[in-house]
Amino acid sequence: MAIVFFRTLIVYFALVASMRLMGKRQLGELELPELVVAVLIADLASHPLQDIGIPLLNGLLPIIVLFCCEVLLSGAAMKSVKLRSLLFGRPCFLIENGVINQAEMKKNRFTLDELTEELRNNSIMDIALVEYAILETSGQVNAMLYPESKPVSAKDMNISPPKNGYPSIIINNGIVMSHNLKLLGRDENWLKKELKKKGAGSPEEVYLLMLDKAGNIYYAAKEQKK
Amino acid sequence: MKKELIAGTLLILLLAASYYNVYWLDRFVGELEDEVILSRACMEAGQFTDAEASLRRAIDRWIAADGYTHIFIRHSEIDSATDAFYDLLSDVKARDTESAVGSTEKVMAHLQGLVGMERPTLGSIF
Repeated sequence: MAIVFFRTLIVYFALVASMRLMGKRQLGELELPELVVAVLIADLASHPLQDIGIPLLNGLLPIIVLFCCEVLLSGAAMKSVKLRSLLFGRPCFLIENGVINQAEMKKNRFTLDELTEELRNNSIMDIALVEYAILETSGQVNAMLYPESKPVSAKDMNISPPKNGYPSIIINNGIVMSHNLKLLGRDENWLKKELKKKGAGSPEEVYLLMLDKAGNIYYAAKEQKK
Repeated sequence: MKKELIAGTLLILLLAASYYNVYWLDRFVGELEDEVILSRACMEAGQFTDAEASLRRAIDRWIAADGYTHIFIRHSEIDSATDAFYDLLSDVKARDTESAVGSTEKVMAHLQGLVGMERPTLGSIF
């Protein structure tokens, strides 16, 4: 029991550390080599956990080797376009100038149902509105509508909305994010005043408080415990 | 680039460590085999006390390397080799020369198997 406990802890931290060091890409859409690493690591790590007759090193060593290979390959792929396309493939047009590219669809084993589903994921219900649909190397489909079907932007309407900047979290579930407060040029006194205006006695009573550069505040009080 | 250099260095170090492990295990197993061969020679000469002493030295060395073996070798293989050692010791103590010949071969086969499993060859890789 104790052996399994300690082994699980070691493997857990080794996995978290290796995935963290491989970078955030591992967490989102996986490219082919990354998928291979993710699947392999999960399987390799589980064996020494289930069977204490296998040295833990037999599970940890492959994780380290895979981590090194992944770092080396992704580093090399960043420098070489050819290697990148060899490893990750290239994006391809499933719809080009409004025409479905049936050869590409067949080549990528992509069905019409999948295409329409992916378009719906992009909030596009009518395929006739799509000028280009690109199958990314991660397997995601991105679509570009015909200009006349694109949503109207402020630029199209010749208006210039005020720049509010990026809204930052000032209070996160009762905890004051002092760093964000400082970045926006405010201090604790300002916060106290704002909380008073909102009817909150202290930050502990606030669930979320966001502030942007223009001074706009989003406020949500904590729900009272029943 | 720093990350790639570290990964590359780590990979080379691991490869070197793997080969050093094979070298170390080969030498260690060689020393154990020498003691087992000496034990067999003593037994064939009728010197059973020397045969037992030599075998005991091999067993003690095997047991003392527990820290290494349990980290690098499958535990089932360690148990098999330990059993083979004690089977041989039992034959030597019983002065059963005939049975000891078979038990010696068993110990040697187990020890060679340990090195064989670690040594990278086409057969062991595939």
